[in-house]
Amino acid sequence: MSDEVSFLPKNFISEIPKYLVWWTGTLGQAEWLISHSNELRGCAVTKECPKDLESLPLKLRPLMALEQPDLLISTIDNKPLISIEITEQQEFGTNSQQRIARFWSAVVNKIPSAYLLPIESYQIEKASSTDIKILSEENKRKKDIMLASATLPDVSGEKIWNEGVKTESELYAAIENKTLKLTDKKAESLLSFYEKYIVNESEVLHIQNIDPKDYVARVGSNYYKSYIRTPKVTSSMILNWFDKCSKYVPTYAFKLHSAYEWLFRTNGMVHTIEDKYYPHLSYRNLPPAPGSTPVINKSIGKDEITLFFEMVDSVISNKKVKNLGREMFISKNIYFDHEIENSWRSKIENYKEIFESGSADLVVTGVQLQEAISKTSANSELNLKMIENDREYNIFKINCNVKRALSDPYSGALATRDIIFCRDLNQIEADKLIKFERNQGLVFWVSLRKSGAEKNSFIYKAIQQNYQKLIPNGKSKNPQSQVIELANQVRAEELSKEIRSHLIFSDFIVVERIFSKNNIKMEFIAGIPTLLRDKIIYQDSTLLKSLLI
Amino acid sequence: MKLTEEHVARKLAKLLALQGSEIIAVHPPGGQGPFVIPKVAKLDNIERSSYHPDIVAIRTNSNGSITLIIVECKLEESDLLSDIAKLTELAKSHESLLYALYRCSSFEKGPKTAFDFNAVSNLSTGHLPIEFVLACKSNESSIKALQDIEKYKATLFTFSEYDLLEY
Repeated sequence: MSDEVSFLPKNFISEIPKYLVWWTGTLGQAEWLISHSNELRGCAVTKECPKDLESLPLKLRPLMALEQPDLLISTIDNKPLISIEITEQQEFGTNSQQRIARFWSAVVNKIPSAYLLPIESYQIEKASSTDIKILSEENKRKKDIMLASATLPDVSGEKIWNEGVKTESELYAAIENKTLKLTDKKAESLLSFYEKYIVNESEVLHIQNIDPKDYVARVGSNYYKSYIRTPKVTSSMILNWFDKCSKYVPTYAFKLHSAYEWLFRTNGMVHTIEDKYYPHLSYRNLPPAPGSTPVINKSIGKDEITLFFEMVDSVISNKKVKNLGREMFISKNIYFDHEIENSWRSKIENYKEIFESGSADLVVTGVQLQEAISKTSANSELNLKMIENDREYNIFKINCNVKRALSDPYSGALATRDIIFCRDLNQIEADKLIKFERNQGLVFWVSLRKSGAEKNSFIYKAIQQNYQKLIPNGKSKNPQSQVIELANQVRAEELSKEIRSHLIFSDFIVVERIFSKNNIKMEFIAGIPTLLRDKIIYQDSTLLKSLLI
Repeated sequence: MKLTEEHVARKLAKLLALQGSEIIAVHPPGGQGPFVIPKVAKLDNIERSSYHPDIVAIRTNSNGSITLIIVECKLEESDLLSDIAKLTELAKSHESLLYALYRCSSFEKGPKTAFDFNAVSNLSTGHLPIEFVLACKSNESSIKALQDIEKYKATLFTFSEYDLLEY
């Protein structure tokens, strides 16, 4: 019995394949890709990506060096063609950015990539006490208004009922005419939600709002609510990331469809359940087939999965990728408020704001960054001279109270910020990407409290552990020197995920270990971009070379 | 060709569909599953601690009633012991089972085959319209009744290698 597992029919498999579809997600995804691709069907075989990257062909390793994509198509002689990611989970904080480092690896190698993800979807979760209270409302008309209001942003059912809104149609008329007592911004945002998810007659198809009757339900002793999870700031960042990178190499996101019919069963996500045309794809929890879901971008006139396969086939056949209408994701007011970019980060006036801030993106000057560290730490060994006074730095600050490793989603979040915060469009080319020629710097600032402060190994201890494991004869005790030795001697994929992308994307990593108000210890490391700029390491370092094919 | 748990899951899903069940969701080994049942003890907003059945289906019975089928698959029968323990834990949790039925409940714009949730909510522990199915590879294909799992009917489907490869 051969070890090869395949559900593909014989006529889909070639004796002499031209392409390999490497998979790390599921075999089903690889076979779904082969079956629906005109270029792959009958010409490709699947290959499970080895867990140990050392057994992966050298030409493919750079694409997996930071993280492994779900699917990677290569020629039979291992020339990579396109990197693909499929996720059903919609954004929840920065988790939507989690996978961006693997796309970064594709872009830096000028390899196209595609990302299938739900940009809007439904969510079911425990209801709040306000939601539950609606169910006990005895006045049916009032209850209806309260339920309808609860499905909308920023509307209090109780309040508008008292203001005289007594029916759903009166509510919608008040939204259209902006007569509800709301601030201009909230009234605008409510109107935008109404037009997208209730009227839904624009050039781009949005998912349907929750029917008030389906909003909240008692399940045993618990109550659950259903709502639309609209795309938020973090999604706008990644869609902008794709737009920027696509100017250099085809790098596109595609929207997985959510249907109201499947609201409760699968949070709306549409899957291939039974595929009568390709039975080998049945019952494998795969994305829908091309042509089986509605057209999202009406001006393009094709569904997202069809467009995804058009892109894949164009790339494989080395043809120019047609207009796929991806600009819809960043065009003003289609998915996002036209001012959403302003909420990505905020510029600070005083270094103290770094400490006062929760998890956030902040823009600081080099002087402010130096002040923040030097006034907190008495440790004179911290080499703050590498911070350039005149340079602007984006601080990606996170708070962490636990021991857990800081790999996901931060590695992807840093790769996101490398492109959208630190670079102009003309800096998104392979040479400039890998040289970290950036307008602004990037700082990963971690505030550790409670058991995080006591036990989290980020960053000195984690560096030391990597150093001892990967350079067993190394003599250095200084974490910064250890990083330099690691950069010179070790491939990216050998570093633990806990520090890998962090060192590669961050000019500086600052760890604020807060044991108590008066007992704070700082850890400070210059990352690869700074070490490169200061000519402490070079492009021919093992680490940087391992990122390139 | 090497056989995997996915062969068992797909074979069973196909068989259940042929017998008139509607397959709601399949959770492939190593993949994501869309049908998640939170564990009551740790219910929270992001459903972190959850059951992810390999297959969820709705069977229409000869009398027109419907039953929710929750399935766990393994390639080897000996590995099913952990699944039986998992299903027993699930079966003991009336709240979790109700949640599974809620996810398959009827609503105006929803699928035709669905539970009247108000009606099933009133049923007592052990009387919900739910059955468990386990499946694995064996020397021969068979269907046999297992001991009930916390008052819920349980069935074991086995498939021969030949049948698994035939799909």
